[in-house]
Amino acid sequence: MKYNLDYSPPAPSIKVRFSSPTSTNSMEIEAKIDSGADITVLPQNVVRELRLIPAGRVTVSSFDGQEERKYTYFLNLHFGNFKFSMVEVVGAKRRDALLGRDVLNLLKTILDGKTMNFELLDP
Amino acid sequence: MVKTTLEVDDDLWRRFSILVIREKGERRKNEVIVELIREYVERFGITEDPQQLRYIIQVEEEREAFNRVRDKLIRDPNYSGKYVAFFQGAIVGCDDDKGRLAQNVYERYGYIPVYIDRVAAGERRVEVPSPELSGREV
Repeated sequence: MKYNLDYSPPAPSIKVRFSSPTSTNSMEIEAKIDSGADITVLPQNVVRELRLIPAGRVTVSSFDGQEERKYTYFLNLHFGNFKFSMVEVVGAKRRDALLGRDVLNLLKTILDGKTMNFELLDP
Repeated sequence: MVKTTLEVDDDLWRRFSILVIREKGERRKNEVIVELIREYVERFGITEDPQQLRYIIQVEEEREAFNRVRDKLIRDPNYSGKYVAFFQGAIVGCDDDKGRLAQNVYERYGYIPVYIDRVAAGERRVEVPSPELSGREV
């Protein structure tokens, strides 16, 4: 897969379909591969659209050490041939999702910045 | 409109009153307090969606119930280190895997506001260093 040139600098990103845990409501949005993120992050408007119900709370530390309390939600996500059930995510005011290490650690991720290609595999 | 009563330290209130008179004039304390509350809400951010607000209130109540018994659960080997789900102030599920726990609870009770947390000391903490995360609305 190719890096997404809409990011500057270009970044590995994929379309991920997020779906509500108990209904057929779903939304497909761009998700940036973010190996620095402990947890997957979902735009707040998707939380609203899918009518997700909060199920937990975590303290999120940001890049500058700032801490925020965020509610968490469980939902299903799928991209390519991969499907993950009941993944816990946090909501944030942003336009795309971040695919964090909670999901990436279930896969083999190969980033090749030189050729701007990346792969997500489950060998 | 809600009418409420505040308990404030005498000296703090006196100094606040003087400052408001100095900066805004007589009988403007209420207006300043309302403005401070608005700034606080905007700074920390909370959804304006009434349904989401109801869910958040319910989840916070379940979290309070969890916090009341957290220490007891930590000492109990049946719960310590595991995830528990709280609904209507009581434990409705326990599992090593939070996703499986959520699935079981939603299957049994429907998609309702439960609170799921790990039985351990302190709040769960995660790191998301991406700068674009900022934006406080929950």
